[in-house]
Amino acid sequence: MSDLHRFLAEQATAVWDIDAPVDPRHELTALQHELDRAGRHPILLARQIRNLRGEPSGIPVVTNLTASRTLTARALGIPDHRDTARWFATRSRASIAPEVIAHDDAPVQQIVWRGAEASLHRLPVLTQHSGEPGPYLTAAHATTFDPDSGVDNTAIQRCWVQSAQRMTWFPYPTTHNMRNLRKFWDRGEPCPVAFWIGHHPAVLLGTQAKLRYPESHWGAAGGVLGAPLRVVPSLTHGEKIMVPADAEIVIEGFAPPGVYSADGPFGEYTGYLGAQVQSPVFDVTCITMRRDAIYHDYGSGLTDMLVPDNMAMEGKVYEIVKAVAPSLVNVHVPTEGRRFHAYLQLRNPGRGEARDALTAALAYRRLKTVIAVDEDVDIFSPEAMLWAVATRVQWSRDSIVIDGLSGSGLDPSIPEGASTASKMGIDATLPPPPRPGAPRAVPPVATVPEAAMRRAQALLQTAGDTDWPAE
Amino acid sequence: MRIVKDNVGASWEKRGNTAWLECPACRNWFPVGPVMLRAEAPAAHCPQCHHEFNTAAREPRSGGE
Ligand SMILES: [Zn+2]
Repeated sequence: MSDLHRFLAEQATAVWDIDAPVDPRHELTALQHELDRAGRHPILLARQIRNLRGEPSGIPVVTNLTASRTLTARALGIPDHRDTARWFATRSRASIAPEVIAHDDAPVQQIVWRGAEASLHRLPVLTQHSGEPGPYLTAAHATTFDPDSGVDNTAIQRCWVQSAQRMTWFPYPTTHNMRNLRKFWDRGEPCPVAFWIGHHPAVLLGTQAKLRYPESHWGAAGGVLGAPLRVVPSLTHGEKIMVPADAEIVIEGFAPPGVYSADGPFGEYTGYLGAQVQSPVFDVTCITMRRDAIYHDYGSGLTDMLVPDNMAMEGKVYEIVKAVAPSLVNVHVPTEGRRFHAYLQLRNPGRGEARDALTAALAYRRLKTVIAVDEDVDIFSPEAMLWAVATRVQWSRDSIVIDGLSGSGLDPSIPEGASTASKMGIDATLPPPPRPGAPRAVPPVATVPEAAMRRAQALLQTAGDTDWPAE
Repeated sequence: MRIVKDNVGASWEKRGNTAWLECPACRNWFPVGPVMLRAEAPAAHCPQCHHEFNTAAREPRSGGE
């Protein structure tokens, strides 16, 4: 059985258990910014932290849980993070049905707060960035269901804690949760929701799979986990909304029909403060948790959130592109491109295949720039990618610009009023050989003999600790 | 309350896409999406002083304040 506690115990050497008081307003987020800048990605555990009443929180905070690609891959059972795309493409399609367990056996229902006790102010919710109106749940997975089919849906959606029992809830207009909400509201009924927080990273990534509508995410989570996900009926909504039995905290309640509130500004994945928008609100009926609950926060716009999201995207892009370009061997969605860049690696693509691959990838809503390279270019190295672009591209021949494809409304550069984006594909592959087996008609890459490289590496090891300049 | 928003221009000119509102209570400026300027929008909420105010009736002035 997998849960957050077990993962933290297994990865104990990667956890920084901060032995000092930390302010839930901005300080943990500032630490994440500093660590990202330094390229260091420990899991952060803060025990000396206060809840929203200003009291010492009995519930610690974990954040930066998924800032490391290596660690996140390990959580999924992928030995090398560079194999994520292929792994995800097969694993998230393998659906394993969830296992329903009894209330008494569900750790997440060990403690139940009802009525006035069910106060969001008893949780150590963080305020992340300057200019935000207050504390936001950033790792709350909203589970709703389609009233027509009864099928549930789950997605991470941010919530601004406005008072002890009310928060905003931001299901982006195109999401399946928004479709479910609209169906309830069209009938004049409140939309039942359960938000669950904190789980093993494999479950967190598994539930992020992009699925059809309506389609439950529990099967995909099980597929990624490699075992059935344990779920339990929520206390407010019963079997209509199940929640993961091994989650840390669950917040249950309803979104009253037609009620909207201002929401934001909020620091988005783009690295910018997203403008204030309107969101439905959510009223709490009860909060349940484990006896030893940990509150999970995702650093929004930081590697903590980008890494797992982009890893899941790599699988999806791999599937889409592989269907039209069989020479595709790997995909990387780098965090420096937020969710807008993808790098495709092709093995001896035939004529036209790189451009087919680029065009297919650009159809994926989130992507805005896609670069195709050969197998000799390391798609996990920004330097190698820029070298390929610098030396294998003639812009008028090798770039494709397509306007009017679906894009992200959160893209800070999108023109006002536009509902689509302008996108670019870059073919940075080498031309194919003039005939099979012949060398490509291009200059070879400058290298030194293998033996000399091995000797150089051995020599460098003898230098020991040095004070040599890094730049 | 004041609103700032970029001018409308030719498609080849770079223009910003975000409107800014000034809170009438504390003079703090904050960014708002187009939805917050529509007639049916909920009250805007100042993230600094938590003052709530209506923007719907106001036509944004383009270019500067
Ligand atoms: Zn104000």
